[in-house]
Amino acid sequence: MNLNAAIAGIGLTKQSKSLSMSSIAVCVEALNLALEDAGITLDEVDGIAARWPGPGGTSFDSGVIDWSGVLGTSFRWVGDTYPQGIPGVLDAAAAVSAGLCDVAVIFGGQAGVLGESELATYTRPKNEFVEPWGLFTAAHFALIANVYFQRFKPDRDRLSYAAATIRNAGAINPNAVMYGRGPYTPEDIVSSPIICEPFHLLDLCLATEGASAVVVTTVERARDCPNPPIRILGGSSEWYRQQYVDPPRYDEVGDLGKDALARTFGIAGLSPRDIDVYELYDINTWEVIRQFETMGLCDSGEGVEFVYENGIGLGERFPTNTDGGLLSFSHTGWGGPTLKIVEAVTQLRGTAKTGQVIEAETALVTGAGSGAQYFNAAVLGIDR
Amino acid sequence: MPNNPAEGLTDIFWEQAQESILVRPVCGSCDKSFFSPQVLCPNCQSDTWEYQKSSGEGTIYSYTVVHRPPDDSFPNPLIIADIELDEGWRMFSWIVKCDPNEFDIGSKVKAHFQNFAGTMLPVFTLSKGDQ
Repeated sequence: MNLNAAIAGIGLTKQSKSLSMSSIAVCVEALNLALEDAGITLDEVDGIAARWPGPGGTSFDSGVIDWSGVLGTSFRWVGDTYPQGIPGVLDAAAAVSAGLCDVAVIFGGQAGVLGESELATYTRPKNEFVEPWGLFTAAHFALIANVYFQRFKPDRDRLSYAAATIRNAGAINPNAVMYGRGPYTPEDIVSSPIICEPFHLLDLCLATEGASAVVVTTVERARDCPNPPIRILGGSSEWYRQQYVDPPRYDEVGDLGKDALARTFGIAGLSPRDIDVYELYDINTWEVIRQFETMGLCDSGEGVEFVYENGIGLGERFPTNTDGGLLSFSHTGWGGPTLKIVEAVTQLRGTAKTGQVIEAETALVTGAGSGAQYFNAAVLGIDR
Repeated sequence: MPNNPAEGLTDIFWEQAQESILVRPVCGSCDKSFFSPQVLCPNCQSDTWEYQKSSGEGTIYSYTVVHRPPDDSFPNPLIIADIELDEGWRMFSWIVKCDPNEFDIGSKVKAHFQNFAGTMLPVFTLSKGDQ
């Protein structure tokens, strides 16, 4: 399959533990940066996938955010199912490819919401069979990881290598929220406080503020833009169950993503080993390991050894999360999934100031994970 | 349409919990138990299910010892578990009145009720013989 779709622009605001502005303002800032990067004006945008309903959304209350109203424009296409990250970009690619719209923007982020609270509210879903027992998103993942740990008994220090490597990529990235924090050794990871077994503080992703955006258009239109087009070569999703409602189980979601990844690589005509740079959804250390298993690069239970033996740092066999990832770069709530796409495009343009993989031509991007009970993947590549 | 479950769908669960009785939906068409409550049975899509009393006996499918609960109102450490009830349904709960080294995945547990933050919550203790 050939999607006639490419990413023509990316936008990234300052990422920080706290920003004193509104979520809408930071999202619009990211959007404007992406449009400027693409050399496209708002007049040409006729498709949108962004958080909050409308137009055509599911809430009719006064004061509801409606992007047509905020931006003073109208759209031919609105992606309202999962309006961020990979599903947003894949839907936009299909829409552009089919001619439903010409230029789609996908963006998300948050600001002025985290405050001083140690736990972001979106990590505590309000559900009557979840919230009273004090569940939070990392605990959902821990319930799955603990079964894996009991079954396969992975080497903890070697697991920590993955967290240390990704965090060290962020430590040298001036745009990362955790810039200057590190370098970390595997010992540092397990010396950090235990949050929920088996996860230590440094195994877990950040909760930060900022926004990111991408502009998707046809390959022909993208070729007229200032930056080289980055093609959307393939992608797929797995929606197993609604996230954070019922207990996720290793026996059901331990290999979540296997189907989506196989389909993604099939569409792209590539294999997991062909990829030059891996931007994997690192909600925690173990999820990174799990994804190497679901890609089929090694068997279940062998991921820790595989990753340790082959390496996921810059200059190693499988360079992963080159910006520092969700662990060290930033994780902006619903905007987090889009950050992965922005870094993949940066890598394929060859313009990363740190962590650049030399002559990267293909990138794998993933989103969500086993504890969320859904997963998605896309392969991006340079225009040949 | 809001994403909330149908109005009143879970009322009986919480009313019975106040009486320290654990119930779960049981389908009148396929006889399967399920949880959390849904408008239709997720096994056969029938809407003929009703709440029935559970034995409260089950197994720890998985657990995590939480050392940083969401706020100070929770016990610390807090043992959050995914319980597989013998009747073939699952729920999030706590393992209480024991140490993490006294049990493991697969240990047998039984439901009890504990007043927490004004609500009677089903929680689980180790079954006799597993202690």
